[in-house]
Amino acid sequence: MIEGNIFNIEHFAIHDGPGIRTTIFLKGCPMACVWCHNPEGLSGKRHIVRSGKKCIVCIECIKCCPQGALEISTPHGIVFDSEKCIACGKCVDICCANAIEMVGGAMSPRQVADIALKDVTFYDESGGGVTFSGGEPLFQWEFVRECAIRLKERGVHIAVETSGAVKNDVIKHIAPHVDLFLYDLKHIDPAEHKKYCGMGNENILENLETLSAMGKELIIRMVVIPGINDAPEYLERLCRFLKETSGIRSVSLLPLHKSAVEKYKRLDKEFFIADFEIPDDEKMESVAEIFQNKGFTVQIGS
Amino acid sequence: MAKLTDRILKLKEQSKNAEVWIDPERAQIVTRFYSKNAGKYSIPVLRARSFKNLMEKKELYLGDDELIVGERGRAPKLIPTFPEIASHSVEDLKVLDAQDPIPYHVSPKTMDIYEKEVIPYWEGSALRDKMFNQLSDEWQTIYNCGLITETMEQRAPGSMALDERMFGMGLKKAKQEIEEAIENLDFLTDFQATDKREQLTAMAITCDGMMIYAKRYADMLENKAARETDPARKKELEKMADVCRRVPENKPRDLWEVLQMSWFMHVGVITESNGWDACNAGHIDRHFYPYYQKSLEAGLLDQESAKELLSAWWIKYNNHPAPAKYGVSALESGTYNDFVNISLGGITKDGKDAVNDLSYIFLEILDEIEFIQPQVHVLLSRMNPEHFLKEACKVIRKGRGFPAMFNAEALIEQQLRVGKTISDARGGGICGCVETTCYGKEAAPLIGYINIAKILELALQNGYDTRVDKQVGPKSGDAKDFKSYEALMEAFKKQAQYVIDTKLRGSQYLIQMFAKYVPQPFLSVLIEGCVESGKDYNDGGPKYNVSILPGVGIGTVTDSLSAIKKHVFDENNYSMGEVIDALNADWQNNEHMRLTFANKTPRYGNDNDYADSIMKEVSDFFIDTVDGIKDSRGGTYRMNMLPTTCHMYFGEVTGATCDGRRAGKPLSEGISPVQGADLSGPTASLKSAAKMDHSRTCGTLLNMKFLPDVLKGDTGISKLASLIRTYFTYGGHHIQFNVCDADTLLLAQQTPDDYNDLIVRVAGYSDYFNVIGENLQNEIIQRYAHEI
Repeated sequence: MIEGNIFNIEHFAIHDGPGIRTTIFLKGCPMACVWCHNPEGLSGKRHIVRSGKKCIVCIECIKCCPQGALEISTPHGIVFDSEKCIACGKCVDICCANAIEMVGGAMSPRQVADIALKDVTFYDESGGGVTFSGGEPLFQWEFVRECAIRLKERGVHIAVETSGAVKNDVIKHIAPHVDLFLYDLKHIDPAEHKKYCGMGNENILENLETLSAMGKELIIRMVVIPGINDAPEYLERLCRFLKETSGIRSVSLLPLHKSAVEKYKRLDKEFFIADFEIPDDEKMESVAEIFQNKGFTVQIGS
Repeated sequence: MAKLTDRILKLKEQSKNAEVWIDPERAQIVTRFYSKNAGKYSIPVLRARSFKNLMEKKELYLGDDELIVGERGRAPKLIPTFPEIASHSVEDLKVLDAQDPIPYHVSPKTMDIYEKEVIPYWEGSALRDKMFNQLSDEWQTIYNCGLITETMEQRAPGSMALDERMFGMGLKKAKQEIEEAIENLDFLTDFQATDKREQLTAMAITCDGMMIYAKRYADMLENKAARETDPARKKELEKMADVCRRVPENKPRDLWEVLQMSWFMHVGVITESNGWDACNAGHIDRHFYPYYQKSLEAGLLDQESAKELLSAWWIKYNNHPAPAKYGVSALESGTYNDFVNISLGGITKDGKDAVNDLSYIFLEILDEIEFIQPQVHVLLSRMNPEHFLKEACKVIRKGRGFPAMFNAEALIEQQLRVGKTISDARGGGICGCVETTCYGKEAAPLIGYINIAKILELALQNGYDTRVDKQVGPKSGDAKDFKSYEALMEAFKKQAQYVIDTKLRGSQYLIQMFAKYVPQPFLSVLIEGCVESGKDYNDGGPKYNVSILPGVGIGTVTDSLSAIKKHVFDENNYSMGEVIDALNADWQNNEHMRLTFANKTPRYGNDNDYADSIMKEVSDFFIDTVDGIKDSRGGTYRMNMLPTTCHMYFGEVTGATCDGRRAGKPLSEGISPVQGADLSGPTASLKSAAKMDHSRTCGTLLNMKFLPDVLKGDTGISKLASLIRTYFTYGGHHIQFNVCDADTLLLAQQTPDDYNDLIVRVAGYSDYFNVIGENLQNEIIQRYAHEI
């Protein structure tokens, strides 16, 4: 049986599609956007993160580690060598302070469906459902398909939040099992896209056309990043593209935020966007206006 | 919709800024009356004559621009005392004067009156003094060590709401019916006829008292009108005089009359006695609506003047902080809030959607006036419109904890289960904080709280309380020798049974003492059943009677039992001996065990059956044990899960607990998970909470916190509405929301002056953040802390 690698399941997710939803976060992403707010989802492997603040230095983790990846060090308490770690999870289980956390874990479609179905009454009441996100959920598309089949058997609405950075075949295989695509577009310009996301956007735009041609319900989601993707000429180009190639008329704009700064710290990764500007309400309105003038319905914030 | 008028803004400011003072007027008039007349009449008649005498003599207050008249004291926020029930000593008054927050100022002149006149008369003969010495040593022990509190130790049984019945008759007609009932007494075969005659005679006398009070106002207003130079105000005063001449003697005819009548009844009840939860006006939207409609159609009022009148009535509630509590009562309920909890929405007696225009207008008033009193709840029925729910959610989003949401269908189910008619059940609603009550027909007093967490402490300590160094419960076995989780559970149940039995024996006695010495004849006129039965409100007169026992700390106990079950008996990580030693040392040098218990245990609030089944077993045990026991008024005891502020007091007297909590810290409140233990999101918390058998309680309290961000926009409102509907689909009784982030609360704590208006949900009621005291502030901040 196929298994998925999942790093979080969020109940009462209210920003990932209509109604009250459960969002399944899948690990692994082919892109490398500098503003990524789920950096723990980038790598396809599971791994350990430590929070030094919570640690009471009981050294139980050192005692149980088969790899010697944890060591005591004054004055820093415990230091962790991620090179030696094989992510067996023994220290996670033993840590009384919950200072060690496993990011990612194997789950079967049945397990995911069982957890998601716990909240089915909330979906019924609110017109909600289940959203697959990540990472890039379609990186594990076969697993997503298995989960979706199980959930749809019980009448659950399925959304996929994707960057579209997958093979065109994958899009064609998954589409019949999905009710709604929340399609993230980072930038309309291929060169700029490559600069900030680590790859061009040609494939992404082609996939969008495919989904639109298949008649799937689509909402475009765009993180507004001042100075990067908010120039009127870029936005107008994006509008033109959408009008020429798709039936999509619904756009959701999200302001850039930096709430992931702690995550980067814990992952020991550089936080590139520390000095990026956060768009204020006025900025968001002005971006929205460009879309609205071209006949799009715009939602700000979720 | 119309904005608040300048008059209302002014009345609002006046009410808000008025200081709270002890008013000696009532105590003085009552004392003088008792010293001349005690012994001349039967007790009910003495009480009634004293009430009438008070209503004849008490000073009348008329504020500038007021539209509705009548105060309990001589002016807004002047609080009388009730020395015949509990006589404040000089020391008590000094404490009240100096206490911070919520002072009750005492002037030197007032102090003098109490010292010279009031205290000498009542010392030793106030009901509290009579009762306390008679309670058993066992009762005193569990009371003193914080296993229970007792609401009847200084306040009369209250916890009732009025319905529309009086509006259909007026007090003149009510008095006639009482007189007919006296005539129809059968002295030949009914051996209680003599007692009944005294009770009924007393009820009739109080009707006179209230009618005289209203007439005095009519005269006063007429005089003022005659001297008034402003023609607009003159006209108002003339109308007000007319209104007071008409009601409460006769049936009200328009909105002004029904509001004034409602308010006179309120003043009467809270002047007669100091019952808990003041006097609830009940289903104000459905009961006032016919009069509202009539006034509008007749052209007497337009939308704006109607809203002004309703607002003027509303503000009166805020003029009346709770009677001054002291000792343990102040700890279990430390607030000015007197828990009037009026109701919007729900289902009419004949089974229709009860939402009308007034439901929406009252939501607006609630939103705009921003007081902690009156409290408002929405009785949400399946048949109430979604738009109404969303409007209520928008007010909730403001973050003041109003309106609290209750499940109309669940309330009906609870009431049908205990034998009420379907029509009466639909006429029911909430009183106090979360207590299910049949409006206009039931006495539903709380009888004091019970500390579930400390009961587990007794089970772990073989009935011994190390804090007071005393054997307080039965010897249920040395827990260090327990070989199974079941053995621990058995000890827990044995201790619980003992505490419940001891508590209820005390309550049986106290109920009868109030029935005997402090009947409430005026209240008895207003509650259906008392005239028919010839019995007082305090003595089982109402059509329905229930005595409600709220349990506190279910979350703390569940997590503690779950930790012991998992780490001691399932996985053998620790022995019972080690656990008890760690608890006795308040976790000193045992941080590893403390964190393991706190973090590596399935905890209540995460939709996890390991923990939730423990909650279910414990709550079922309390319900099974208490439910249906006959009380000494002819009613029954029922279980409830409400903390008010008792989770703070009970926390202070409870040692370390196995959920990782340190000694003295707050317990979990209501049926909410332990602060910070619900890590799986709100849907999981709601599902855990819904596993309790709400239908077999008289109410439960669930607190939920949200960051404002979550509820942004129309989608946020829709999602909040769905969350509430889903919880109610699962059978949940009540849910209330705090919408505010921890950062804001921390700032408010540091710079209180900038946050004078910040209202937060405490537990079944809201209060100003600045006045709730540092410990409770910290506890509320803690509820949010894991959100950031």
